Formats: sequence, structure tokens, C-alpha cells
Amino acid sequence: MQPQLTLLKAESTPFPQTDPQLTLLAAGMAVLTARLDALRSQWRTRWEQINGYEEEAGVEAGAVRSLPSLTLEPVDDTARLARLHARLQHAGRIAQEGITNEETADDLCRALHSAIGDVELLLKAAAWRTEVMPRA
Amino acid sequence: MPNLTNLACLRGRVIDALRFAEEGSLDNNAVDLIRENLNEALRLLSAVEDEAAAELPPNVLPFHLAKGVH
Repeated sequence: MQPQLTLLKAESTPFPQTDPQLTLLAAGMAVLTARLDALRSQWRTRWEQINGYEEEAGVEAGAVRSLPSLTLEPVDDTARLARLHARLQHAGRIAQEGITNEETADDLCRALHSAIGDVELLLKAAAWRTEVMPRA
Repeated sequence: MPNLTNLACLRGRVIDALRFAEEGSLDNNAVDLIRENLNEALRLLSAVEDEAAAELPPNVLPFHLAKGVH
């Protein structure tokens, strides 16, 4: 489900035109609304990019969507990092215990391939956030 | 936010480990190289995880973007 921005609408707050301050406020609200509409359009574009990342990385639908939140909530990579950690530890265990046959070698390669996929996804998400939400 | 440099280095290490694993010889030398690259990858990952945990911002939203506010 696509999160939605809750936007304030200038037209929903009718101000008496006789009060100069309220008129100014109404104009400010109109500018703010236009800005929010533009931001919403940007978010929609980013949203499409994220969907592309998911398809490209072959991850389950919606896995990336929780990262760059449209409501500007804190972004948490913890789950993906934990999964990557588990894959690397699994690969490390195989290497430690010895690669004795083709099956263990294949298992190792699979774990490493999956780990690379995770890192690629983390890199893309981090690059995306750097672009969209640069630090102050 | 995960550090891009650390993540890129981490990816390089895992790719190297995969390269040695896929070369097929898998003698002691190759396994040592795989292990070495994986250990370094795990070290970088720990650094990335620490950074990500430290950088989570407080859950403070502008009132007009908070859920349920219309």
C-alpha cells in the first residue's frame, strides 16, 4: 500500500478577505500547498524508482518501500543489514569448516551472491536517500 | 544512513571472496583468501551497522506530515 502525504489545502481554510494579515496567511498557505504538491510529485517519481530497484534486485515486493518513507519517518536498514550479516556469517562458517565438495562450494557461492545483492540494495537505498534527503 | 564508502568496500570484499570461490581450485590458499575477505567484509558490516544504529533520527515529524493530521 502506498503511503500518502497529508496535505493542507489552502482552499479548505477560507479567510475573511478584509483582514490583511489573514489574506497574507492565505497567500502563504497557497504557496505552501503548491510546494507540497511539487514534493508529492517528486516522491511519486522516487517511488517508481524504488519499485524498479526491487525488481532489479529480485527482492520480495515492498521490501524496499519501508526504507525511504514518504512520511519522512526515520529510515531503518536494520533488518536488511541483519540479513546481510547472517549471509556473511553463513559463508564464513562454510569457509571455516572446509569446502569439501561441490555442494558446499555451491552453497558458499549462493550465500555470497545473495550477500552482494543485499549490499547492492543497501547502496542504492543509501544513494537514493543521500540525493533526496541531503544532510544539513 | 549506511556509509556509502564502507558499503562499497564491503561489496568489493564479498565480490573478491566470490571470485576466489568460483575459481574452483579451493585449495588452502584460496580458502584462506575467501576467509580473509569475509572477515574484512564482516568488520566493515559491523561499522556500517553501528553507524546506522547511531544515526536514526528522533521520530519528530512536521505536524502537517504526521499521520492522522488533516
